[in-house]
Amino acid sequence: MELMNDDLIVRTITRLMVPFLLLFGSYVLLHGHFGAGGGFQAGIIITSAIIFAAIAGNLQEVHSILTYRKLFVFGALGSIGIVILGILGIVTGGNFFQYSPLPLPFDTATIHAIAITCVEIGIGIAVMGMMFLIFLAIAGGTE
Amino acid sequence: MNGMFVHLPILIIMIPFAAAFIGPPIGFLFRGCIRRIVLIALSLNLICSILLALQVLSSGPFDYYLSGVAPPLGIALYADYLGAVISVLISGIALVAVSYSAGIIPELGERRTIFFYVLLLLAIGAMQGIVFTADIFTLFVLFEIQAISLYGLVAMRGDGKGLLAGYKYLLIGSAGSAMILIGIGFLYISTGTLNMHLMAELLPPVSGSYTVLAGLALLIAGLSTKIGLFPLHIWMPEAYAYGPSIFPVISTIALKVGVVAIIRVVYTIFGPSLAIQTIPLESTLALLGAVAIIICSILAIRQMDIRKMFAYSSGANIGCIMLGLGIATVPGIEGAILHMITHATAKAGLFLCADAFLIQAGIRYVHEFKGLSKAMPYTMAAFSIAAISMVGLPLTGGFMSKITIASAAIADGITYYAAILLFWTLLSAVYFYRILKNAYFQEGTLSSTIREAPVRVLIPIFIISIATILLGFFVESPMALIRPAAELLLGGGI
Repeated sequence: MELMNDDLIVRTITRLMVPFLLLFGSYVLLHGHFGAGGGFQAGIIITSAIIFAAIAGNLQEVHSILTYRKLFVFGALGSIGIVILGILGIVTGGNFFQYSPLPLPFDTATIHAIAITCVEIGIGIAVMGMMFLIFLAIAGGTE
Repeated sequence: MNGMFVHLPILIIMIPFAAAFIGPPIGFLFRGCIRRIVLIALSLNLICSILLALQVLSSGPFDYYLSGVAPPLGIALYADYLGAVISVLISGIALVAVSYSAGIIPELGERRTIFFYVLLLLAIGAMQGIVFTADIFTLFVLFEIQAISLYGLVAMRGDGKGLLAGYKYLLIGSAGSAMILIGIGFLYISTGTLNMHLMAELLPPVSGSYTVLAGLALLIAGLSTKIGLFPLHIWMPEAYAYGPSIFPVISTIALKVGVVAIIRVVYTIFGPSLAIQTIPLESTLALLGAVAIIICSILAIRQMDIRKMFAYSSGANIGCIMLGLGIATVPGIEGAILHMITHATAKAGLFLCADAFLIQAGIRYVHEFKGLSKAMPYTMAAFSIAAISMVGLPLTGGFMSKITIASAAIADGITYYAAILLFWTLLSAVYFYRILKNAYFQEGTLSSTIREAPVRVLIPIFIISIATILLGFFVESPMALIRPAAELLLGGGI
């Protein structure tokens, strides 16, 4: 796969953009529990930063580090995290995904914010794994 | 209500999903271990479904609020009689199907087998969600999960015909999903809520508006693509013929889940009185069902590929279920729900046997069955029992459900629908008789290398056959749940 990995413009813009994209992705992720944003959008933004870096760098090298199998497991782990958080609600005596009975030394609103952020992180991990998997599948390569 | 029983609806939905997420990491680590995870998950699921059915039977339907927030703000699950009985059906048939299939499915290879089981679990979880949800938008989301998993399953073999069948299914299914979404949007605009029971309370004042009528029409049309009602059945034959081994069994229960969604829309949201006032329910649903029965049966007679033949037969049976729903009396709905159970059981038996024939002897056309009863006597016996139930002869489950629907039609004064059911019995006898005649009464030209299927495969097939026969004798045990379900649907609503 011949991508323009030695092009000066692509490399410079990537070097400028990737940190901002990662920062913005983290902001969207942590903002999700009380405003526009959340795990899915943050996952997309962070994945776009990684895809950017992969296009500017060496795709074969990315392929050798992040195999299909690893990405699939990565995405599945995010989903497992979400299920575990949901079942924590049942274990602590509430309903599925009910956070208020979680034994944390905060008031209810803070517990909700923490738990929702954890769920958003889980969603973000799942989306990142699957989106990058889709990118690699489209970009082609070997398995 | 005590302890863990209140959490059963969400546990039934989450067990397959959780197993689907755990499956890939463990499946990649340990070879051939994914089937054991699926078996454990589905067994747990069956136990939970049966416990929930007993719970609903003893203390009536109950709500479950996700995150503890009640509607209209929160999302609710509603465990009622209909959901409980169909949930047991889903987990039971899925468990038998998976215990039939191999640890590494030969036509898929090791890596695709993992994806096959993951998609299967996602589809099962979504089906369990559809039968329990009380929120119409959750219904749509779960339908999408189920449909996308099934598109993937159809195309899983990756050869030309499988991909084409999956693509056809994808096109028709996506059009259906879009219609469902627009219909939900129209109902939401008119009522301002997505909860089915609140929607049922808010609908009567606005029920005359074109928005609501268009919403109902779009929902019925969209769901008809999911269940393969007659003009929209065209994805079924190819998907069944070219999908991987146990896909048709999973699809059979997916069709029943689509029917449950139609019941929820017509009887829970609109309610029988409103539905009959605003749309001519009897003449529409029942007429669609009757047309589906006749045309799909004639198409089935023309087919020589047995899997395509069974697909058209499924279309006819869906027509029979819609006919029962269209009669809109308590016996009619009882018959429809009972026919979902008996048809799913018999059709699962047929497809498992058909797959065993394909693997052991490479047989998939009617004329190749000559003399097969000598080579594979046990599989052929199980196949005959399932076929007899599909035709609807006495002493099998199929007879009980067909006679219930036919007598409901006669009691309601629409005897020509009972006549159509009788004629359909004749038509289905024709296409099953061809196979049985070839297998039992014709001298074969089969090669002598064909062996009977191994015991591991025969056990699930026999379990399904025994269930088919037991349904004919002990029809009262599912009826204990079906009877209050039908009364709740007709007395409930508005």
